[in-house]
Parts: sequence; structure tokens; C-alpha cells
Amino acid sequence: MKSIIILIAIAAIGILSGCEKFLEEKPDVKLVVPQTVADLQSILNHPLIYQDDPAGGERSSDNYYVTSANWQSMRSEEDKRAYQWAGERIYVTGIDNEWARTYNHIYSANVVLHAFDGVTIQPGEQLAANIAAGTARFIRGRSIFNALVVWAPAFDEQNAGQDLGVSLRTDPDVNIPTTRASVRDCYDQVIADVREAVRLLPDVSSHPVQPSKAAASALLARVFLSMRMYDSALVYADISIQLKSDLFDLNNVVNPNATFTVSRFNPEVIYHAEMLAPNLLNTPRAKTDSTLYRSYETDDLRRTIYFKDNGDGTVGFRASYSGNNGGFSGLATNEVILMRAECLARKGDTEPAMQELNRLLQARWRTGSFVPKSAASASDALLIILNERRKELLLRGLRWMDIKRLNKEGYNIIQKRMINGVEYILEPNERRYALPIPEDVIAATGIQQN
Amino acid sequence: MKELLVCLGLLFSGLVQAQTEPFKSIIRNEKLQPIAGATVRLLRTGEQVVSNESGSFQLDNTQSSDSVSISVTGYRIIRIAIRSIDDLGVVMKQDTKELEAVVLSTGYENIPKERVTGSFARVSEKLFNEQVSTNVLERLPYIANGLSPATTAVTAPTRVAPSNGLVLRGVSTLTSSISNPLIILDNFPYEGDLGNINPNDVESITLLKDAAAASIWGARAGNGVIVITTRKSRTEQGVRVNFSMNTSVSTETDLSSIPQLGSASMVEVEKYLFAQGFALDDTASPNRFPLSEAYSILLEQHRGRISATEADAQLEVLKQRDVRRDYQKYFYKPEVKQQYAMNIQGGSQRHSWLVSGGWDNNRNELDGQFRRTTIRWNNIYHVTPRLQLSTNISYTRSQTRDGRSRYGSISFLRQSLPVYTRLADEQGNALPLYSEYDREYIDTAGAGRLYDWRFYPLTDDDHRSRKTSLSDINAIVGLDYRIINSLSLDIKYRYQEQQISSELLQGAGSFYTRNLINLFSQIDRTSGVVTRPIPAGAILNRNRQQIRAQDLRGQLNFSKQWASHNITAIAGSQVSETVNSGDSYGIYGYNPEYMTYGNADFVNQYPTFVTGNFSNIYNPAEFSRTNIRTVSVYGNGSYTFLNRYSISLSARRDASNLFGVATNNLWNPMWSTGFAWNINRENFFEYDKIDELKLRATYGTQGNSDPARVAVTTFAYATNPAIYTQAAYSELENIYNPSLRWERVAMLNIGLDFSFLKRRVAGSIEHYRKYITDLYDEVPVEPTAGLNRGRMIQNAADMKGHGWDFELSTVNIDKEFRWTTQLILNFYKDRITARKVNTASSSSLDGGKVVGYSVFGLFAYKWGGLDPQTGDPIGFLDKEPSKDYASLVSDAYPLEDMIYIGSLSPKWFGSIGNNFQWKRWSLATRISYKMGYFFRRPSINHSTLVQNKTGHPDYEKRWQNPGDERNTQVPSFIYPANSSRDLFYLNSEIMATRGDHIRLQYLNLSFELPIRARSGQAIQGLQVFVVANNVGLLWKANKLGLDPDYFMGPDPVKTYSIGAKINL
Repeated sequence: MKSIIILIAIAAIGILSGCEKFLEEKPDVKLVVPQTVADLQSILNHPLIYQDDPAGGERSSDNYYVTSANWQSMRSEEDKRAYQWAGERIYVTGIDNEWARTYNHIYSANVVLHAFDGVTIQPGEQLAANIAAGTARFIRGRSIFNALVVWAPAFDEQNAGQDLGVSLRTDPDVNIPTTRASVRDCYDQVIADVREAVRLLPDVSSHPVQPSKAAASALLARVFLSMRMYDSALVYADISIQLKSDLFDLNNVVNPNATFTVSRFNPEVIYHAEMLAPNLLNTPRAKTDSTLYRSYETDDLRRTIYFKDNGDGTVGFRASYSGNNGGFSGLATNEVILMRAECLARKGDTEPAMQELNRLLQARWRTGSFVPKSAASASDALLIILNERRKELLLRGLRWMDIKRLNKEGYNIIQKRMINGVEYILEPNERRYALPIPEDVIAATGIQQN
Repeated sequence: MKELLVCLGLLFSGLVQAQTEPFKSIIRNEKLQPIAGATVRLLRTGEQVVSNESGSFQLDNTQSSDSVSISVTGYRIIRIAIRSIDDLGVVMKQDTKELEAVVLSTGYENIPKERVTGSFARVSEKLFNEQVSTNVLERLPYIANGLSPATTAVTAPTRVAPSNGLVLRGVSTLTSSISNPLIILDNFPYEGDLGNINPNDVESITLLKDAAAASIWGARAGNGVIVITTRKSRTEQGVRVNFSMNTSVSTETDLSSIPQLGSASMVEVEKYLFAQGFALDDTASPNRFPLSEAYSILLEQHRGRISATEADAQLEVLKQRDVRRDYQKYFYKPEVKQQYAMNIQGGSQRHSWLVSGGWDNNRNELDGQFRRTTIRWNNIYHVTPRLQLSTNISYTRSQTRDGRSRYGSISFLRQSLPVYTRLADEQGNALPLYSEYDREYIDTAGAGRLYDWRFYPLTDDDHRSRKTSLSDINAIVGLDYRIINSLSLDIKYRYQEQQISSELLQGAGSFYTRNLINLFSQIDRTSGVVTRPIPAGAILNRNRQQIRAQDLRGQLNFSKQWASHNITAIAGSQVSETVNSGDSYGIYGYNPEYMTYGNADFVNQYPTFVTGNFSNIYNPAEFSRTNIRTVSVYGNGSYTFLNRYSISLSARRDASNLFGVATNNLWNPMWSTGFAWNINRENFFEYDKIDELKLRATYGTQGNSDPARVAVTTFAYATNPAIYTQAAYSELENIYNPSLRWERVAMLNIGLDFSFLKRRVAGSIEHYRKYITDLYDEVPVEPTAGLNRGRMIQNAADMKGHGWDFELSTVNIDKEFRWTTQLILNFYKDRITARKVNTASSSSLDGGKVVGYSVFGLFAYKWGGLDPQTGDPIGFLDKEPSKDYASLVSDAYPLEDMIYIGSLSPKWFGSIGNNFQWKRWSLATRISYKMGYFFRRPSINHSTLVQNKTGHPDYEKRWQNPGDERNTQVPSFIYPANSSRDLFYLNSEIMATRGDHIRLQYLNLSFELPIRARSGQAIQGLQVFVVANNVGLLWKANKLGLDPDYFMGPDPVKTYSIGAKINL
């Protein structure tokens, strides 16, 4: 009797001490507390990271227009207001808008960068670790920059310390209160992040949606360009072009009549990303400005390959590098070449600038018909290059940034929209060039609205 | 003084001693087996003793003229002079009225009802079998004290809705996924589909309602526990065979009872919208959106292809149709269910056995089929007098074949199925429906090189089949070793394995398959050659789910009775593991005839035919596996003194592998304590008319945990690889939250059990209070934090609840005609006491969990009538009439200005059962009622009318001309529709409707055939019965003709069953 009780007691103790191991089993096989470099990379592999860029700038730019009837029949009230530059309620509340999406990218990057402390890098994993860390830096820097373009005023050396930028989050702790940092602090963070990405990432990546040194350098060139620091922009554009300079000759387009003429991942793509494109930008609703369309010359293949005749005298853009209706917001060699050309022209290097531009245009003209462009002076060259930049980089999310920075230099680009006989005007350097932050964010955090 | 007392005591004892002597005897039953625990009361002095295990008792001071009364549950009380007690002892006769000693099962032990301190409700086999159903739980809500069906009303995401539809003493959590009561089948949590249990195997059901009853189940008992016990074999009985069968037929579903705007009005709405230029844009869209029939006619007229008169004539035809009539004619049939069950049992002294089997064959209203076979085998071996071995193995196999598509399952792209759709022509031939793309486009697309791109709803179901087969084995092996008389060791092992495999075959002729193949097809413009990235043939999807649960339990049972003390205690530990795993895959180009298949390329993107957008071919392959492990240690003890006073104590600790939970939270203690007092056994208690009066009180805690909540940041690998890169990627699953705990339910229960007049009146009344803390609640996270969701879960809310459970059984007439009544009356009210999140007025509307109000609180906007000029609804902003609808329905609208209507969940609920018996006839009736609650009735939403082309018939009653506001409250129709205006109207106070109602739940009429039970005769007993289920509403508070449980339509069907029970 006693011995039986003792036996049971021993058995019970045995069961309980065995528990520890028994309870170590993961409740769900797919759950991951990031512990390895591969786990971290898997967070950055999320497809939304390259499919979810803000399109607010594009939505508010003059690359397209819609008719009053189109505007009237649109389902989204937010799109309607955005088209009018209403300055308020242009986003749905919650997490289905580009503010939330942008900060989600930043969160993922922050999780990865913080988790590196707890990850033991196995021998032979250093390269993979550098890619993961570099990618996280690239994504964070890029996302903050995207946010700056949409929700902050253009960088201005004098006021950057006071102008309100966006919220700077470098820690995944969700309890940190949201504030707005200055434009300068934001840009400093962007530059620091992308510089680190340039250092860590390999020259080229295994897939266009994964960033590389070429991509990070091109991004940094774009960042400096938006800050109007053209010398720095040139340095990084040079690094990028040395790593990747392929051009896609439009003479090689397989089917010039296809719904979307340029294929995804064409040779020019350095880094592939897509915008969270609103319906507003879909063809045939979104039409291309007729003056802009007429500026393409007859032998310029872009005139037919980039645009589709809507059959009613209007044309719509159909050559997004995303290969579909969504806008391409990544980085491509054509942009880098145009940045180089612009920076060279601004330095006064007229001849090299025009050479660079002609190298691009050569790939756009019908074979044998291209006559290289020339410029009388550096300022003449700059005008030609800016004009070609406008014609080449349609619906890339760049026009908004360009209008903002060029208006800072007195280009006086006035945007106008006509709806039901009412004209809406957006004057240069207006407050509305920083788009309104979603109202629910303002209400929840108390940060200042634009 | 002291001395005096001592002296007096001595004197007194001396006096008594002088005249008395001890008396010793034994108490037995009719089989002369000893009865333990019987109360022997010496009538002269009131002294009481209790018989021990060998049935013997001793009274120390008796006189020869003394009489004793002896009582024990299940036997008739006797009064006997001690003189007349012979050597055999006292033989007690079984009380025939009280059929058996009520024993309550907690799943860990069986406790005689008279000793329990906690709150239990028991449903007897007889009561349970008054209804006919395939599923066990379906029968419970109207017959179990404290159990209510979950409010089914409208589905709101904020609502707490247990998936098995049962709520025991109100909800105890704010999280739907963990709101089910725990279901125990034969001592172990049942992990499989509850539809596997054959209701004919059920012997009794016990609800564990308070902490003393349920805390033994620890961290899973927060919502209460339902213990199902199946029939077990008994020793020393001859072979008995029971056979039962029944067939049920339901009335036909009446689709016309679904509140839906008719064709005539719908066509007029479309005409109006077309004139306003609605969606004209879409006609030029590259997506080739489908156009409704009315829209197409109007477009033809607009393009000048047909004249106005022609168009009107065509529209007139549409107005005559109603797709619900077609559905009724071609899709719906009355439901038929057949059920057969048999059980054979027998037992010798050493071994008893029971074999039961059941077969169900159901055909639902859509011709879907469900077939279930169950087999159960129960054995008890008395290996030695001290060692007992028992096995209970049950096996269930069921097959389900889906029937036709339900009404409402077909929808157009971007809108509902128009009510004027026709499924077949006059000859009954299937008509096409253009639900995905525009008709003109489909008819010409691919110039005949593609598969037919039209959808034929009438015949499409013939080309697809979904079959599910399930097999489940649940085996329990138990070893019971009596170490000494008062101590036994009980080891139980349970193994359950449920396999569900389902197959969806969408044949080459089904619209799904044709559409998908066409969508990816490419036609070479010059040669006309069609390439099909999706191979031609059927699409087959297979899915397999497996649950494997194992439990091992070791338990010591102690029970000792000496003199007037009784101690019962159990202590044990349990190790459990539940593994859920699943896999699924899909095959394209499948040919079921030859079992051949094609290969599809899931890696590269292909242009889609309609828009040219590139897309991947969907790969349905998926794997999953979860594993929940728990280790528990528990103990439970009770001490009874003089059969009058009982105290109970219970404690349990659980640990589980819920990933990363901080160690200090891993071990989670639950405890309870209780007290019971059998007042009628007190010496001073002299009321003959009262048979039982027992007061009990308990307090303790239970827990509720969610396997989906863990405390650290985790990511979960997505099942499919990332688009483009095909790389594995992961998504945020849980957010770092070190303070995550289990929900904690503390409950106080006070109850009184009584019975009077020789048990002709019996019942109980109980009051309970629940204090629930650390509820999981969603706390909003501001988007800038960057989570891919707007909310995160924290232990962030508290609530309180209190209620009354009252039950009364009476024997009203007890002659040749016997009439008995059972009344169950439950009251429940709860209140959220704290939440971290401030509820915005717009989300308070439908069970929005507002602090200070019920979990199911219903709020509404104050209604200011209709504007006499425009028919616009009027609300109040800052106490002033307003039509600023955006502000009225915005989150910023002050909650104080909202009107609190009441609870969506009934405050009073219960049932009344009446049983009548006359000779061989008996009739059982059950009426259920729910009182003191509201629901929000549906009405016309003009925005959805415009967008989805579906509306509520209230549209007909809308304001149209000045003056209408005197007769109607339905706002005018405006275009463009204003969704805020609709939201305001639909959530205004005038839509809140009283839900109170009384329903005749069922009637059961049975007749016992006059067969005299004689040995050698084949049939020993035969009973035939007729049951009418869900008979109808007897009364409802609302005057709108709405059934509060089915106001979204269709009306509930009545079910009639006929059956027989045969004993061989």
C-alpha cells in the first residue's frame, strides 16, 4: 500500500519534470520568433513591401486628367477630393491607406533591424546577414523618403530645420508616441539608412524586387535630387550607372498593340516596386494631357508604344514598367541616366549631359531615325533634359517630387484641373503640396495636420 | 459557575446513562447489499448517525421504546421501532418515484447530488429524448437550466458568438473564438466534430455552472462546462436489446418570406438610375463588367438599337418575374431525415458489455446528403474484486455531399443576383446568367475558340460536387484499482483521431472551370491557335484535416465514512496533447474518368484574357500543423459532517506550451471552495411536509485562454510563396505583449434546493455573480505604429454579471391521469466595467461593448422624424435638429447623445415543459420564451440599393410626397445615395424592436403498445411516437409580424417526426 503511493508519487514527479521539454513544442509550426537570418529575410520578402508604395503624389499630379463625367461617376469620394486638391479627407480611415501601408514597411524594417541583436550569425551567413540588414535599411530609408514626398513640403535648406516632416520611427515598439520630426531630421535618417544600404548590399541582386547596391545608389541619387543637392546626386547616379546601365530598346517591343506594351522586369529595372494605385489612375479613365502627348515626335516610338488611343480623341498611358494598370514606382536606368544628365547640365557640363540624354533617346527612336539632340548652353541643355524627363518618367510617382523641387527654383509650374466647368488651381509652393495626413491619425496622435 | 456546569453535566449524563444502551445494526437494500451513507435519526433525541461502507451504524444511547427514521437518497424513508429490527438489519425499499439516486458527473468524479456544494444542472435521458435530432447539442437550449441559445439576430463583427450556439449563464468573454462552453464526453474534452456523437447513446447531460463545479477544468472552463455521459453496461442483467427508429420531414423553406424588394420596383429603380447616368462609365471599362438585364435593355435603348416602347415592353416582362419562385421550384425540397439506433447489452457478475450502433440518413432542403454510422462498444471487466478494467470505444463515419447552391450564394460581380433573374425557360431549359462579364463581350470573345463563357445556374451544380467524409475514433481505456477500501487508483487513457477529407470537383462543364481556363487562354491572332496555361479538364481540390488528441490521467480517489464524518477526495495529474494538421492541394486538367491530370505553371505570370493584366495561376497547396500541449495537476476534496454540513475545496494548475508565454504565467492556478447545509436534517427541523431543504454557497475562479494569443512578437510563414520571387515570406502574427494573461472568471453562487409534499414540488433557486477580469480586448493601434492591422489584443477589459436560475418541478395531478410541469426561469444581466478603448458612438451600435452597459448593448441615434419637404431623416446634433449625416454617424458624435435601447441578449429566458400521462398515452410539450431584449430590424438601405441592386420591401413605404411623413418613417430615395444618411436611418431608435416572444418548441405524443412483457416473447415493449418540432410563435411583442429569431428570413421550417422504440 505504502509502496504503491510512493510509486505514484515518483511517477507524478516524473511526469512534471518531463513537462519542461514537453511544453517546448511550438503550438503552430508556422510561428516564428525571428531567430535566424532566414527568418529575418522572410519578413522582408513580403510581397506587399514591393507592391504598396504611396500613389498620393501621382494622384495629385498633372501626368493625367479625367473628364467631368468620369469624375462624377467615380465610386471613391476620397479619389474625387484628391483630384480637386481638396486638402482634406483624401484617405479612407484605418489601415487601408498609403500612410498606414508606408509605416507598415517601416515597421517590418524596424523589426528586422532590432531583431539582429538576438540573431546569431552562423559562419558563412555573413553575406545573407548583410543582405537582410541592407534590405531593411533600404526599405526604411525608401519608405520614409516616399512619405516625405507625399506629406512634407519640399526640402529647403533654409527652413528644413523647422518645416514639419513625417513621423520618424526607428524602433518597432508600438507604444512609442507618434510625433512629426523636422524635414531635415527625416532626410538625415533617409540618407543614413540608404548610405548604409549602399555599403551592405551586393552590387546586383538575384531578383529585381530585392534591392542591390545599384538600387540603393540610384535611390540616394533620387533623394539628393529632391533635396536639390545635385553634386551628391551625381556621385550616386554615377555609382549606380557603373553597376547597371542596360537600356531597353523600344524597337524590341514584341507586341506594340498589347494592352500593356512594356513587360515587367524589363532590362532597365534596377529595383521593382509598384504603387498602391487608386482607381483614379486606371485607363481609360485617366487620360494623358494632349499637349504633353503632342510633344512626342513622329519617329519617337514612345508616341505609339507608351500610349493607347482611347478611340475618342484621347490617349492613355500603357507602358508602366509594372506590366499592368498599377504604376511602377521602382528604380530604372532611364531615370538614373536622366538624373545624371540633369546634374551634369546643372554643373555646366553641357556636352556630357547631352551625350547621356542621347544615349537614352537612341533607345526610344525608331531604328535609324534618331538625330542626336544638341544644346547651345548648359541652361538650354537643362531645359531639354527636364522636358525629356517629363516625357520619359510618366506615372512613376516622380512628377509630384519634380513639381515641388522645380517650383522651389522658380519654374512656376501651376497645376489646373477642370471639373464641371469649375477650375481648380494649385499654385507653386502652396501648403497643399504636402498632402493631408489621414484624419484618424491626426485625431489619435494629436500631430499637426499639413 | 464552572463547577456547577460540570456538575450538571455529570448529573445529566449519569441520568441518561442509567436508562440507555448502545444499539447497533446494519442497513441493506432489497438485494441485501449494504447501504452506506444512510442517515439514522433517533426520534426521541434527534441524534443522527450515518451508516458506514458496510452499512452498519451505532446509536450509543437508546431506550427499548425508541424509534428511528432512516433516510437515504433513492430509497423510501422509513420509521421503525428498534425493537422490531432483527438480525438481518433494516431493509430499505427503493423509492420508485425518485427513479435513481441522482449522481452528478464532473468528468473527474461522480458526486451524489445531496453532497454537492456547486451548481449543477442535469438533463435526464427521458427529457433529452423528447426531441428528435441528429445532433446532440441542438436539443439542449430549451431544456437545460441556465443555458440559452446565442442571439442569432443580425451578424455584427462586434458580437460575441459561440460557434456551437450555446451560452451558459451569459457570455464570459469578449472574444468569439473562445466563447464556447467546454464539452466533455465521457470524462475527456471532446476535440472532434460534435456531430459525431449519436444522440441515442446519451445517458445524461450535466451542466457545470459555477466555480465549484467547473474549476476542476481549469483554464478551459471559463464559459462553463457541458458533460455528456453515454450509456454504460451494467453487471448482473440479462441480455437486453433496444431498437429505435424515426423519420422526420420538414416543411418546405419559404423563400418568399425573405424580405426583399420585388422585381417591379427594382426595374423602376434601375430605370431611374440609368437616367441619372449611373455606372455608364463601366460600360467602357476594360474589365467588361457584367450588366444586369434591365441595364442592358436600357443601354440598347440609349444606343438607339431598340425603341422606347420595345424597351418598356421588355422591362415589363422582367417585372413579372421573381427568381425566388425559380429557386423554390428547381432548388428547394422538404428536408427528410431518417435515424435508426440499436443497442444490445448484457452482463454477468464479472463482465458487462454494451454494443450500440446508429445510422442516420439525412437529405436536406437542397438535396445535400448526410449519412452517419456510429458504433460503440463498452466493456467493464471486474478482473479481480479490486481491479476493474473498462474500455469504451466509439467509431463514427459520416459522409456529406453538398446539394444545390443555396439562394443568395450566387452573386454578380459588384452586385447581388437581380430578383428578376430567370433560371429556366418555359420548357425548363437552363438559361445563361452573365454574372462576371458583359454579355456582348462574352458572346463574341475569342470568336468561338474559347469554351462557352456563360454561366447556367440551373445546371451548374450538376457539374460540381463537394464530398466530405469523416471518420472518428474515440477510445478510452480505464483501469481502476482499489488499493484499500477507501482508496482507489484510477488511470485513464484517451485516444481520439478524427480524419476529415473533402473533395471539391469542379467539372469541365462547370462555370468555375470554364471561366478560369478561358481567363488564362491566349489566342494567336494570325494562326488562331489557342494556348491554355490551365490545362483543359476538371479542377480537383482535395483537403485533409486530422485531429489527434491524447490524454493520460492518473487519479487517486479517496472516500471514507466513519461515524458521522465523510471525506471524499481526488487528486491527480493529466497530460494532454491535441495535434491539428491539415494539407490540401489542387489539380488542374483532371479527368475523373481516367484519373489523368495536367500540369499548370504556378511560377510564371500569364496575361489574362479580358484585361491583359498578368496574373499567377492559383496554387491551392497548403500545409498546416498546430500542437497544443497541456500538463495539469488537480485536486478536489469534500468533507461532510452528519450528512448535514459539507465543505468542498478544489484547485487546479495548468501549464501549456502556448509559445513564449512568460514563465510566471505558465502555471496558472484555479481554485474554488463551497459550503452546503442540509437544513432538513437538523434536529430542530420538524416540518414533515418539507422533504429537502439545502442551502449552498460557493466561490472560486475559472480561466479562459486563447491558443491564438502569445506574448512575444511572432511572425508566421505564409503558406504560399511570394509573388514574383517565389521566396518564402512571413507575416506579423503576434505583437510583443509581455503582460498577456488568461482571462479570469471569478464566480459566487448561492443556491437553495427544496422539495415539499413527498417530492410533489421540487426545485432550486440560485443566485450568482460573476467578476471577469483580464478580458482579451482589441485595443486600437494608431496606423503610424506600422502594424498591418488597426488593433492589437491585450488583457484590457473587465466585466460583471449576475443572474438567477430558478427551476420548479411539480406533480399537479397524480392519478390515472398524471400531469407534471417543469418550469425553468433564468435571469441574466451583465455590464462591462472597464475597457482601455473608448467606444466611438458609431461602433457602439450593435453590441459595441460600451463601458457601463451590457456586452450586447444596443444603442441608437435619436430620431427626429422626416423632413416634410424632402423626406430626409432628421437627427440631432448638439440637441438641434440636423441633416448633417456625415457628422451624425461619425465617430466624433458624442456617445452621451446616443439612446441606449437595451440588450440584444434576453434578460429573461427559459422554458415550461408539461407532461401528461393517461393510461398508455403520454404527451410532452415544451414552450420556450425570451424576454427583455431588442433587435434591430432591417429596412431599406438606399446606398446598397444603388450599388448592389438589392433592397428591403420598406422601399415601397418610402416618403415620396409632402404629407407622406404622417404615414411613414422611411426616408425618401435620393440619388446620388448618401450612405451616411442610410446609416443614420437604419441605426435610429425607430428601428429598435422588442424581441420578447414565446415559442411552442415541441410536442411529443407517444403511445405504449399493450404488450405484456413475458419471457420467451420476442417483443417486450413497443412505443410509438410523433414529434412536432419548432411548431411556431405563440406570442411576440413586436407588431410588425417579425419573428425575432428569423427576421432576416426565410421563416423557420417546422419538422414532424414519427418513430418507434422497441425493447426485445
